[in-house]
Amino acid sequence: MAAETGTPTTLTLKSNDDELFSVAESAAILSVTIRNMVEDGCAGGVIPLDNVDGKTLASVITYMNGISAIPADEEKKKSYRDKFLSDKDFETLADMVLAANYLNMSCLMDAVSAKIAQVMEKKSVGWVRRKFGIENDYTPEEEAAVKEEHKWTFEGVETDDDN
Amino acid sequence: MSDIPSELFRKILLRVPADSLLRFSTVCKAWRAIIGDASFIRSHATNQSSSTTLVIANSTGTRLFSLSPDSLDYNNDAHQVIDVMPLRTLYRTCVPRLPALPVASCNGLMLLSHYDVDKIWAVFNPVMQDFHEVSEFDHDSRLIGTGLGYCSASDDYKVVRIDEILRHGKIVYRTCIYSLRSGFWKVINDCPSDFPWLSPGVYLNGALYWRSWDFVIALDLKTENYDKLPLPPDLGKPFETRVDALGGCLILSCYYMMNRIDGWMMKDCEWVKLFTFGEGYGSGTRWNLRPVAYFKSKGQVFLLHDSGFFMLDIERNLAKNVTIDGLPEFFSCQFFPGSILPLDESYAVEVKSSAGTKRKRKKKTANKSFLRVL
Repeated sequence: MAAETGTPTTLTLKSNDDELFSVAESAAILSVTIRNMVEDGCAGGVIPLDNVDGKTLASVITYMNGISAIPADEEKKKSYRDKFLSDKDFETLADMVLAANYLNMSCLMDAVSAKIAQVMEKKSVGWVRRKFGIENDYTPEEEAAVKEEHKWTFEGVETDDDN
Repeated sequence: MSDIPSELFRKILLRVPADSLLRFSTVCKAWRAIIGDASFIRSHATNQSSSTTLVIANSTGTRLFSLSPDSLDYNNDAHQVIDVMPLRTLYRTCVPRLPALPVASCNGLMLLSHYDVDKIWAVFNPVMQDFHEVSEFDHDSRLIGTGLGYCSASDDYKVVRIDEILRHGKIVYRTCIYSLRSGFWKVINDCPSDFPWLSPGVYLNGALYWRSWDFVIALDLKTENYDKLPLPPDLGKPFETRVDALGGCLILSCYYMMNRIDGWMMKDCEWVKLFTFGEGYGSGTRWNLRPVAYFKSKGQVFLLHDSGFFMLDIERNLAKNVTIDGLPEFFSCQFFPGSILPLDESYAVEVKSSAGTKRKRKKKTANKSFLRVL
């Protein structure tokens, strides 16, 4: 672990598109993946994060710095998370959920999952397939049958556009 | 983006409200498998953070509407009236008539109970439109309390009824518990007190709570033992009190003259004053205030009164009228977390395989008989 005295230790993180980021160790170890690397003594040079691109990593680091500056007050942390995620579009959220999973950051993972779920809530099935790149593997007959089981849940759904 | 592993989809779907989940079964076969999985359904139902909606019933109980609490948000001080999204008609339901809300409820299930002896009780999931008919009971008694709760140790939903009966010349408050798994009633220890009026129990974290005279009665659904919780000291003389489970907390509301209502929250086994409201609002008539939601992270309480709603900012002790478009003239409401817990044959199948015992189950025909008597 970091030395207890002197200036705070800074880590250098490298995204999979070779961008470098400096971040305080105290903030970076919110990621269990990074913390394990630090504890194993791999943090001397640059920490490569092979599954995260630069744009997403920049966002995650903003979050790490923001949340670790807040004292242990769960309500305040929650409102920071809500605010942090409020202006993110769906693609960014999807990238972040993958990053949070890879970096093993449960608090970010939970918040992003909840945000994605909230965005999805009123969306059509077609929208969900398109945004997640999921292929419809039902035959038309099967799909109609599954839809028929709960047809009342298709009322009040947003029209099938890209928003 | 199809590289999101199914474990992550599962985590996201756990946060999706129940009716949307059912719709998303049609996305692909993998999602249908995730959503239909028994352990997923259980986690979704018991996850307190899954979204809740305000369910509003018209006076005859023939139509239900839902309102997302997100649309109730306000930050702008300049406006005194919030117009929220028009109500969405919810569940064009197969129930001809619901009792007035709130009813006893737990994890997206409602208990449809009746004082009348000739009406059948049922557990109802409005999202799934499923019923579980509760087997009949000897009715030679006076019903004083009801409840519906979940015991995680046995993964079982339990219906509770408390009746005032005469036993050996003494009035006692007999408690019976019906297990949805077993399909049978059994008698447990007597309730230590009666209640000021026929009350639905409030479910929170494995226990049911009723407001009694000088304390709150708690029934632990695992041990099936009663406990008495004292009221806050120095309460003065409220003319009425009630308990609710709001925002994951037990809330005691005390009503005083001059339209004042005090809300107390149970925190670490002690009552903590949460809010005081009413003086300066309203016009001297009684407006049947009832807290219906507590938004903990926003520090707001949502209150129902005779003709609408207030949103109370606790810290600033400031309340605003909330106007909801398309509200029926007479209505009842409660906050309700939806779930996709099945109650029909699929539940019976699960019961059979997990308990390994043979028992009599009422199938769809039972639902019909329930509908007939409503």
